[in-house]
Amino acid sequence: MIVFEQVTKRYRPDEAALAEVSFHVEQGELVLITGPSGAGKTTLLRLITREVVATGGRVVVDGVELGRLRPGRVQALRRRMGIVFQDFRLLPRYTVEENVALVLRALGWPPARRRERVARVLEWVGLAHKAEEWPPALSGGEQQRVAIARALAPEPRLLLADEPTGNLDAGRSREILELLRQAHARGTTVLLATHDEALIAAAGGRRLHLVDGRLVP
Amino acid sequence: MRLLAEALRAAVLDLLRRPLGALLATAAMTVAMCLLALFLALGTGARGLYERWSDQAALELFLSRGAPPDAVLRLAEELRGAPGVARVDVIDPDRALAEFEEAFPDLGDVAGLLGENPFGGSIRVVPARADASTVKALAERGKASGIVESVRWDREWIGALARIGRLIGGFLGIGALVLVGAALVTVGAVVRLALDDKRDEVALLRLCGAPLAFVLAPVLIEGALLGALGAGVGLLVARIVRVAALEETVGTPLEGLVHLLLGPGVPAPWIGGLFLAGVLAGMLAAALAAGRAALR
Repeated sequence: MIVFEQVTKRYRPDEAALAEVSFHVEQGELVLITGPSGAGKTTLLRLITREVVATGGRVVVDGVELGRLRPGRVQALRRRMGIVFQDFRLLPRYTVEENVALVLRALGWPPARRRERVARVLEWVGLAHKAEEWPPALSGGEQQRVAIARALAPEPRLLLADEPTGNLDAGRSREILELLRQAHARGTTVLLATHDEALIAAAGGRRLHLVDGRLVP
Repeated sequence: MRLLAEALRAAVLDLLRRPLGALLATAAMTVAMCLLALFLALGTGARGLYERWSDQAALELFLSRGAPPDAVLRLAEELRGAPGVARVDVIDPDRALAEFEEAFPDLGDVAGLLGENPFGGSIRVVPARADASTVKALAERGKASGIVESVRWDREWIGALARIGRLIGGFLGIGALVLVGAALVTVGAVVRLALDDKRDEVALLRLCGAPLAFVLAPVLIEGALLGALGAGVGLLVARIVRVAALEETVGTPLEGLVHLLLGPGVPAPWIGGLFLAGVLAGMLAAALAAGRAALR
């Protein structure tokens, strides 16, 4: 599903955010990207979404080599992914339901199928009763559940979660982890970047540990 | 078409969901466009006034008695084709007498007293601009024809008109340029600020794989709507102010001046152009607001 071969990413010539990182992730795996702040976890995820391009090495996602990917094909690749952010990134002027539906609308889902899917994912994250609410009226945990619903609504093959529990207490973090594990159990490949030790201990799955941009055992 | 309809719906919904922001943006653009429209209305009036004065800057080529009619017509045609000429009228002796009698009715029937019409024919040339060198060149051309006995033109009046023309032209040109620029920058800046938070939405949708058209269309439409709203209301307010000024000054000492300057109003094509410029400025600002996030 994901192949990193000797991948290096430099934002500045004298400093590597990632240095010669190599790993494979199989379809359907749950992989934790761990390491302290500034270790390169977010850069690794941004390379997969092709927000940034590797300075050296090879990144392959779902059979597509990103270094050779034409700009016009980037969106097609991203449609196979769902992304969850630490700061949720919900749009405050859209209701919960609209936040989830917006992505499906962007991907061209017909209205009837869209409505059905939004209802189903909101039901799944336990927020069907808050579909008409505005994001600022929700708790942090609820907002992150909406963000997960939004990420998983288009049924992506790959879910990337960047510190999804970074702004949540322990109880809410467990809820979020449970949702991510459920998504994994349904066959979605999950890459979870975190430095939350409790989450790492509870999550299971394979662990890739980064320190100063390098993978360490 | 469906994409456009959805984008329009999304843009309108977005504006309605933050009415205060849209209202403040519209108010700022209204002030800028209103000032610009009123300035252009004043400019149009001043220009009309100048053209009326310029009409009086004619030079009169008095023809020799017995000048052959075909030579007179030839000279008139030649002058019509000369650069800087707005109008050429051939005045025959009868018309000259009629104009005299109209201008000086107290002098009665001059021709009757003298037994014959004392006026000869003339050619009246109205220059396009009150420019002393152009008028002088036309006078020289007339004299060189051999059928012109004398030429009359008011050198001082034409010189003064030329200076007034330059002053009005310079003032209007610079003023219009500054105000057009200020109005468009205001529209652009206000729209950009109003849509600044769209950047997060655009970036998020792009990360989810949304096509560029889907992401940009609502933002551009929203910018165009804001621009249209600001320009439209601004132009409407300017019209209301102009009409009110015309009505309120009737019967007051200011009536003549106000009607002279504000009476003609801004020509319709200019109003259309200003409205369109507002819409385009709004769209451009919206595109800037979406910025690089859309292209990522």
